[in-house]
Amino acid sequence: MNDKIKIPDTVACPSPEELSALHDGNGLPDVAGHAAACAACRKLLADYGVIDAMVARAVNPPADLTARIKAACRAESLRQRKPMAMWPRHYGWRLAAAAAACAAVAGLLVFFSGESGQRGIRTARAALPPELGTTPAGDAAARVNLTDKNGAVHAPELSGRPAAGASNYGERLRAVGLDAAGNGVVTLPNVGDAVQHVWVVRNSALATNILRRNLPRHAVLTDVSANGRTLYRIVVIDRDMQALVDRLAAAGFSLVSPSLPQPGANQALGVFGKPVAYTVELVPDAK
Amino acid sequence: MPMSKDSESDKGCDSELVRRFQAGDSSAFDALVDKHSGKAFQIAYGVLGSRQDAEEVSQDVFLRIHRALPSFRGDSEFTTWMYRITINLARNKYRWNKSRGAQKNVSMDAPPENGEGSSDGVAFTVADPEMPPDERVAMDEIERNITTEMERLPALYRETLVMRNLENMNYDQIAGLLGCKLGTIKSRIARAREELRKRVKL
Repeated sequence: MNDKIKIPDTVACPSPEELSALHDGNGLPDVAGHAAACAACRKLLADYGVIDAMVARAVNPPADLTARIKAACRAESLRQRKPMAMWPRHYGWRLAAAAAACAAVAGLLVFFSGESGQRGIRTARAALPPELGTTPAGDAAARVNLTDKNGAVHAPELSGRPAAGASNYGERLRAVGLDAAGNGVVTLPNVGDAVQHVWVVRNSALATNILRRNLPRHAVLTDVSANGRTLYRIVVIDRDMQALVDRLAAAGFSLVSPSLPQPGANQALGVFGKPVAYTVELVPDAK
Repeated sequence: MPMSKDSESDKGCDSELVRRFQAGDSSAFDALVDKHSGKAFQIAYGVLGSRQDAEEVSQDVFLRIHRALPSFRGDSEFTTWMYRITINLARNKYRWNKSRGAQKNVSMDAPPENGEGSSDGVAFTVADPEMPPDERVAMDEIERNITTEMERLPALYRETLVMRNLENMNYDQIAGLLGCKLGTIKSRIARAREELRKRVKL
């Protein structure tokens, strides 16, 4: 009797495609009937079960994925909120004024430029529109110094005032001037007056201590945490910002916000010694 | 394909979360991330075969959803929309990787070749602790091989097999998402399983 229902090992076995469909609950009745009586097919189906289980485990998402996504989205909405609100009212004329100022700087340099004896740097003394916060024309401190003798590009710190030919309206507008050879306008990314950074940290309390310990000497920190969010407002001088973010990154904080300054960013920033309202949000990761 | 009661209530829950987010409740978006980011990661991994790339893509997916959700009209289900964004972004990334000649991106977070430990939460010990030690070792070995071989599988096979192993994703849904015929999906899943079975010598 048994010989009548015994299935030969290799003959008439369904294809792997049919068995795979059977494994997923889409098999035909005759395939199911065969598999029930065939040891080789049962073994194959068991192997598919093992493979599926292992595939499912292999694609486990990282434990901190959701925290990182949330932090990135929050950072983006913080970044977008301000420009979106300001654009219609202010940005149009400000950018137009900045462009006009750049043109004015370049034009006036033809008549009023001079050589800086020590470094061979062309300087600008143009009077820019008051709304751009420039120093008065002719002020010696207003000379824009963008390249040093080693070729590094930077802007000088001028007692809390922006240099002539420069503006400090966020990182969109940049320090402006001519390079050492007088070949054209050099731009520098500028730290904004208000910077918001979202940092992903292992532990908020521990991270707060690290943040406090790493504050620059004259920085003032205020706890503005609300609605379960760990928030600090720090008033810090722009020249200290880069060092601060570098120290936080070195302490294991992970910055998700794209605004300047970025940790380890190997680029010159235009700094003016101005105070910056630096808002730090600490987001614990899920690990 | 009839939907289960759970899927129906999930859909209702998603549309409620979308509605709340559109009304200004940002915590509703967090809930959507909690619920679906894992699936976005898995789909992206299926296409890309790299955990690092899949993480980047899944983050990008939710950034885009975050931007677009205020104007999401609900013409399709949230999950369908999310899956489509994920597949599109992952395929773009795949093509970009390929155009740069990158066979495989090795992350600093990736498990070491010898499979000892992992820094990103992936368990490399699948075996039941109650198993005899020799069987447990064998199962661990198979799992390590599966992880490696998954990355080497052709993307078309890998993505279908990964989607099949996602919760509640049946052949119809996979075919709809990938824009393929049902028979194609059936064939790719079978080939993926067969390839893996042969490669890990089950």
